[in-house]
Amino acid sequence: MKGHSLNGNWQAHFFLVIGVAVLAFPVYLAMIGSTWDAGTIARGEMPLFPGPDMISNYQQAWGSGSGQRVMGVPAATMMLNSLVMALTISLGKIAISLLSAYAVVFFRFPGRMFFFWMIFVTLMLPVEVRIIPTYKVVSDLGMIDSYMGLTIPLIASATATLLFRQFFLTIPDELVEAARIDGAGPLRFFWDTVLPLSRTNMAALFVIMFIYGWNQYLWPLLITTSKEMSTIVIGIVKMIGTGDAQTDWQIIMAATILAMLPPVMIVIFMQRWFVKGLVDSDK
Amino acid sequence: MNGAQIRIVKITKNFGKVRVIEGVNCDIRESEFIVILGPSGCGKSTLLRIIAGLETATEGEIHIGGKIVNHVEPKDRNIAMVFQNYALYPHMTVWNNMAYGLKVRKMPKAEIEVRVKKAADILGLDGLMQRTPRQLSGGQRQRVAMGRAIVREPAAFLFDEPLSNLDAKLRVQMRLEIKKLHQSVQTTSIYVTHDQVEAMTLADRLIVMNAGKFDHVGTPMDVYDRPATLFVAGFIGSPAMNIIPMELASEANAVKIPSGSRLPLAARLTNSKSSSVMVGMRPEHIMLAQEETEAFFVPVELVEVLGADTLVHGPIDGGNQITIRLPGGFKVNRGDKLNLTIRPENLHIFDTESGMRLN
Repeated sequence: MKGHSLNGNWQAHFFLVIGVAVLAFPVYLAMIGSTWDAGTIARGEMPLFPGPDMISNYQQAWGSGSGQRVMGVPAATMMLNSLVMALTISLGKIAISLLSAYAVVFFRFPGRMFFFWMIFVTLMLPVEVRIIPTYKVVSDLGMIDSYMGLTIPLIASATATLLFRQFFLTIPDELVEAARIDGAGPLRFFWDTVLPLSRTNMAALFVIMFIYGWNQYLWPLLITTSKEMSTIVIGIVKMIGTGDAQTDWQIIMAATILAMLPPVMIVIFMQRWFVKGLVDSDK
Repeated sequence: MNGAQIRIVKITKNFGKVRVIEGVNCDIRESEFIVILGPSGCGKSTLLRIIAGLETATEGEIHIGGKIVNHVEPKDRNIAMVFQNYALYPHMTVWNNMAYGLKVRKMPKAEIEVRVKKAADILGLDGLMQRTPRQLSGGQRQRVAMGRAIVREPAAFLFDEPLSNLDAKLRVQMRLEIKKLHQSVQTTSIYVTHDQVEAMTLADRLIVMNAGKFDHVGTPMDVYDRPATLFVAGFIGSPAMNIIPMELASEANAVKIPSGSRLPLAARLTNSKSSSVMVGMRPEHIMLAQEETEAFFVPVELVEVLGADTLVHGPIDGGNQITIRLPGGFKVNRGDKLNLTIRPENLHIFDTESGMRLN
């Protein structure tokens, strides 16, 4: 790059390469592990180069699964469950937070600040704290072992509401007034102006929330009992054998690599969106 | 489309316990260009927002085109507003910005095309229709904001300090364009500003507002020639009018500078309650005196050469500081003593207590 001394570049690259290596090595190991047969890993040999069984391992992981506790549930099913969960949670969170932030910022109604603070207070209560009452409610509603039970309790989001609120506060009052004079009602203004202006915020939140939804562990563990409703994260844990059951590490590794792909794809695909948003500011 | 009459009847506005507008009245005629001028915080923008319907009046009525509109939504008042910061929709093209208000009103596409095209022609926006606001300069943005108002063909335009974000040169140019625009479309316009040059050049009639009240309503020349209050006298004119406390002579036919010089009045002043009055003299009305007409002198303390004019500052008869505007090229140096005079009709006399004009 122009203006940088070769020396400075070398140093920077040296540390970057080390950093990447440290972070990427476990992923690399998982990838290598997924290409050998069960015996190789069970013997304690951990090769550093790809083996011959890649295709069959991935076929088994994708198509029929492994491990006693989730025997017969293929990774494909579990990934579909995860995908439904992650998409519903992220899209639901965005929709609900957009609307609640819109109400809090643009409307004057009795108890406005009270509701705002109520939303804010829920930030201080993580899922783990309210998990027992939430479980009780969901089970009373008969939503155990369903997509609704998996997703609805996680959709409300104080963080996203606050983020959108902060963004909405930067929309100038004059713009709101211009829309009023132009004859756009509240819904029309939301749809025609607020939504398009929030595009980049929505994209960024979608990425964060998708990964949040995809990586949920505790809640799906509680709420799903049938094998067919397991998410991939739960499924991988359940593949690890207990007692004298054999653990098919090569299949677990293959499933792990498969589980990584959707979040990685989301990041790579959406990156274009929010980089674009950062470069040409809309306001 | 010549616009509508607008009547402001006893409008009062309180923000909590603070009264920002105190029962103001004005009848605005069809096609008239009214400028509301005042310092910041005098309530002028609030009044405009009350007319637009963005703010509700505490008391009083607004009539537009003969109808009381107090409880009519802004969109149904048939007005268009141009904002200080343009308030363009950042994600829409120029074309969409201008057409949006018509689309919302479900106007047929063909009619929208015609109106937007016409407005773009008037404002010279032809080549810019597919750009977004951030690809435009400040002047172009303001033009789009005006275009958005024009396409509506409203009963009135409301301008809220539309030029204050532009640089000085562009402001002069846009001022002319607004004037031209008004001459061609003739829509009733209310224009709020704190810039007296804009006010003087644009207004058919000028409202000078001070602390929530209309101090003076009149043509620009009327406001300049016969300011109704001390505030208006000091606010209009650049450099500002010299205002000096003086004593009224016993026969009420002259005023006396504290040092003793007498300035004769055009007519006897009979309505002053007190013998001390405030006297205003515009810097441009003070003239160099011939021997026999000399009224007072000023020792020159500071000279500002502006090219077209030369401004001289110094104490009148060695007392209060005044400013005198002399022709450009007039040779004067610090320490010179100028003998000066002023015509009786150019003296403005105000009551010391109330600030009201007396002559």
